[in-house]
Amino acid sequence: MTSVLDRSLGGPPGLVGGICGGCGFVFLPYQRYGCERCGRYGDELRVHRLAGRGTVLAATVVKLHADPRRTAPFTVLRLRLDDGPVVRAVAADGAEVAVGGRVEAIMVPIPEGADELLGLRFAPELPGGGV
Amino acid sequence: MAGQLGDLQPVYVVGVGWHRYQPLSETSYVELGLTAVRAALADAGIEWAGVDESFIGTGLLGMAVGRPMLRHLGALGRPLVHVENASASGSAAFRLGCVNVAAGLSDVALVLGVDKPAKVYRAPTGVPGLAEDAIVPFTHFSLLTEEYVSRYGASAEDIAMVAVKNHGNGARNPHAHRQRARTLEEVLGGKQVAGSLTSLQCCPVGEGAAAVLVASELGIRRLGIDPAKAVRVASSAAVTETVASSDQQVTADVIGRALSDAQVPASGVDVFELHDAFTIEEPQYVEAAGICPPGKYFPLLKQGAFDIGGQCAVSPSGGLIAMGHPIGPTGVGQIGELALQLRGAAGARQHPGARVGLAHLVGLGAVGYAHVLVRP
Repeated sequence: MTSVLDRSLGGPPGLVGGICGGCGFVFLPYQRYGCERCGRYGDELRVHRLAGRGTVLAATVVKLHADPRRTAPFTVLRLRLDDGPVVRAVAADGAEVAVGGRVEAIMVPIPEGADELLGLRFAPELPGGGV
Repeated sequence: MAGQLGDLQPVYVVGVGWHRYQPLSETSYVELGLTAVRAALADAGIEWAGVDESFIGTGLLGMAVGRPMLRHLGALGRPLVHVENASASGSAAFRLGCVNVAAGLSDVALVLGVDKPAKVYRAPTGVPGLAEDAIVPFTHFSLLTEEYVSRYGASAEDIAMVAVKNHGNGARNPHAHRQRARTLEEVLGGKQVAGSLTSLQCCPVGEGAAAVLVASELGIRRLGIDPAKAVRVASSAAVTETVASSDQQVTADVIGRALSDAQVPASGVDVFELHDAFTIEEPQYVEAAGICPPGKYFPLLKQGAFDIGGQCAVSPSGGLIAMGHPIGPTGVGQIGELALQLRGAAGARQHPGARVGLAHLVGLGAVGYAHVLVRP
């Protein structure tokens, strides 16, 4: 399986999305099963790297969560990435995020052996981060 | 162009029955299901031998649970199928039952929803997500709450009033999981779940069963069913979400089709049973249905417009929040509630003059279902 994270360039982690060669639809994460808009599949779906930056559409504080790998409280965001896709992700602990605010992906330390996605968070964009 | 239920011969709900929705207990699913089926047969005044085929909506019980249950009604030997469509499993089973009767394949069909709580297994798709382990249903709906609040403005108290109304209705329903009226303070004071959501604003997932019998005019005549029991199924609509839509858009699409097929305007709906698994869904879906304009739900709620006896009784059963959401039974139980309301037989929770009923469910996926029932 292709990783959803692109950490090859240093700095904020990028995201490994895809683009449909037929209709131009941009999606995340990358997959080859088929385009959700037009149905093209396989080699017509190409890897498309997305900047891990976007705008918050909604944020909510989760106060109860059954999965012991995530300890409540934590904040979940719905955000529109600058490259198009709307995704849901977890905010960095203590991050001040508000609807309409700019955020970027960061990696935080995670327990050894845990899923890499557990380390992905979104935090307010640093000044000049969008340049 | 896809056809409509109304293109086929008329189909009617002629019998309804429940096993009360309740917390997980030692009661077997067989006992739950048989209780509901026998109640529906008694309501219709027919014998099991009069039922031509059965559709069983269940999400959590596992494979092939139908015959070990229905065999206790006596000889079966007739078609039986299990239907799984997440929260909308019962709605999907009802649609199939209606279609087969309307098409003339059967004169009378049983639609049964039955479930007991169990761990849900979903096979991996092979496609990773960014935070899917962090998103459970209440997280999804808490995000939608925040979006509604930022678009239209509503306070935590406003949103909690939806639960106050529905708990009040559930207190009048002997089949409801939660049968206790709650104050605003009780709703807001419950366990904090996510955002402004508290536990009494989230549906309980327990066990139970709901059954309805659907019949053609031929079936009604042949079995001598009392025509006063019969409520017409005027339309059935089903849709799925696309990459460009949402739960609310699915709802607007499916209800739009159901009302159009039934030739009923949104303003003509007297009773509306909807998928209020979480409080925010009621304002979103009432607005998506066109029963009130976008952003206008809360002022009308406060005027009592959605109470029993108001402009449109929304979830007089108590809805998923109070009636409960045992998955398979939920969509079937909505139809049963509408049938009682349209017959004028809903007792303490009767909406006066109810003539047109609308049932709506969204199942994970998302799939959307809507049915319009009309008193002949």
